[in-house]
Amino acid sequence: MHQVLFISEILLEVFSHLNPIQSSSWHGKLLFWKSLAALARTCKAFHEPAMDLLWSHVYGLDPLLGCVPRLHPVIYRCDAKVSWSQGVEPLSAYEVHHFLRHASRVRSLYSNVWTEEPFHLLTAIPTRVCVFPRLLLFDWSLLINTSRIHLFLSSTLRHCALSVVSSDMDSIATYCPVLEILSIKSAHPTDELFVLSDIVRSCKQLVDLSCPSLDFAAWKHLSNVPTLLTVEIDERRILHRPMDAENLHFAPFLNLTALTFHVETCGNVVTVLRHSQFPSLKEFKIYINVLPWAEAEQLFCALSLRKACDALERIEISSYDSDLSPKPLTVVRRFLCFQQLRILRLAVNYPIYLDNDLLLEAMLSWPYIHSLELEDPPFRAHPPTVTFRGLFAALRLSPQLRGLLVSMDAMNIDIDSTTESLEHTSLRTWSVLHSLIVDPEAVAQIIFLMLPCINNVAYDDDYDDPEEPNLWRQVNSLLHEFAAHSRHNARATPTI
Amino acid sequence: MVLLVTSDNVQFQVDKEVVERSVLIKNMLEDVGESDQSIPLANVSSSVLKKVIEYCEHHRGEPLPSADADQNQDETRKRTTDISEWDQKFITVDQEMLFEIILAANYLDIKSLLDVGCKTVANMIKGKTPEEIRRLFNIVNDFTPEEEAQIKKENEWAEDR
Repeated sequence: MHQVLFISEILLEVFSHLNPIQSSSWHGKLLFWKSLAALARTCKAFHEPAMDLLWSHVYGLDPLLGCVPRLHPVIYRCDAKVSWSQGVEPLSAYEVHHFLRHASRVRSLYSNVWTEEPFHLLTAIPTRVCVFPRLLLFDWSLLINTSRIHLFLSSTLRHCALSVVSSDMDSIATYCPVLEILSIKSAHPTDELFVLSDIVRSCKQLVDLSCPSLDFAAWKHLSNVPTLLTVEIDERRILHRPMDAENLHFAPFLNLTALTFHVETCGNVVTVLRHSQFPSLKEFKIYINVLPWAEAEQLFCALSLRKACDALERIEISSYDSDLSPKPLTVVRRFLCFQQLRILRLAVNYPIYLDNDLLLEAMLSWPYIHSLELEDPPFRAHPPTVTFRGLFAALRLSPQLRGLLVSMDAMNIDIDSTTESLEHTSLRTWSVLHSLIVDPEAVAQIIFLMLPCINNVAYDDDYDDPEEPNLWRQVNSLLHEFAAHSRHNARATPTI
Repeated sequence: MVLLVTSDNVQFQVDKEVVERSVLIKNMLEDVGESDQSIPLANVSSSVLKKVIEYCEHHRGEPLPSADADQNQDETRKRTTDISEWDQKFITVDQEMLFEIILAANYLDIKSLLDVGCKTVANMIKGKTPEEIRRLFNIVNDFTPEEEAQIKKENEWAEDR
């Protein structure tokens, strides 16, 4: 045996390349687990480092329960593995020692996808005993049963993910003072939301928070947490409780960089935006089930208050149901203040007001924009007014724009592509939604000469009539023809 | 140029830029300052140092992992399980030389070379049984049959899949 294999730091380095966490595939994890298990049995010098790594990431409680001699044959020999614990007696105090044999090695504990965990076997473990003293990550997000969760609340825990709120977690901050990432999928609207608020308010070092809903008190607490970087709220399955907008006083969310909402309506979001500042916010995403026109305007107004979040680089707003108002939204003008904007995606089922002048002003205001998507509904009272002349005037100001989705008046050929000098070489995807055209050849000519990286225009055609095909399809055919012709000519031209 | 002297008393004149891929030597040179003094490498033989210099020559100019590299950077390095084609060819040596290169990389503090060596050993281990690993590295089994059986039993969740 070479002396190198006795040097513990080198052994650890070698074994670290067999860490199952490195493999993204289950097959890869199995191979690494098998290799580490083999190393643990190879010789005494390899045993401890291999065991430490093997037991560092554990899925479910079965591996730990399998160390109990009475349960080992039940777990590993039983045919019906999923329900092996039914009718099995809880662990005795002596058996608890076997269960805990490798618990101190566990750094990440994940719920098992296929089974309910047999918590009833663990009743002999006293309440508030720290079972996993080195646990960093606890992911129980696949299981609804969170009983005896206190067993997993270690003082080292940094990342906790749960499917539901557990009343056992009310003192999480006491037991997990360094908790940074908290993720809770759902909560019962009547009482658990209060527990959730208590839990959030008890955490002083949160970095990432993902949960179903927050009340005023929880928002207020978060506004005073300087470590907080991201918040994601998903309250679609929660009964909407409007926040009392009176007497709201939040501190600025100093370091928050990303805010994401999945909501039924946007009332509470507007309230939060209106009552605080987000000087570091770079990303704002909201997905709303029902968005009346007036609320949409309120949301845009709240977001665009300059004091609120003028560092925004990415805005995504989507809604599913609208109130069929024919009035166009004034959102583009409101968002001109976001001078750092890179990505703007709006899909809110209302027409969005945009004309040549406003598009030009937008591109002047957003010097870094590289993706602009303003999705209009298929039927709008007023036809779009952005023309080719307006579009190319705007494109001159944004040479780095890579994706564009806007409705336009493509029937009006107000540009002569043969005399224009512009060739925009960044734009790679272009969608015109339901825009109408009358002269596909002229349009194809413009695109071919001025947008050389566009070889296919995306368009919406809900009622594609085979008898009368959409003229954009013809544009795309012509673009392919022009490109083929151009390639042929290039090959035919001798090089000097 | 820097003068390195190996354990078998062979001298190597090496470019400073090349030799400074070793954190140990870089720190020594910084401590000594401008000097013609040779650097004795008592733990590295000439045949091993020749290979180490070949590696450092090839990777000359590549960014070094910073001393205060955070854990994420370290994890990213570990996750990149692939070994580049040149490194793969370079490290295709007999087992004795492989282990000597690892020892030298560890002593000289050349993280990327240590990484290549350890990855290679890990790849040799992957998927093998304890008996195969013992044979591969000439290891004596110092467990009693009962001890080995007990470990196997506890780790059955990892083996029995």
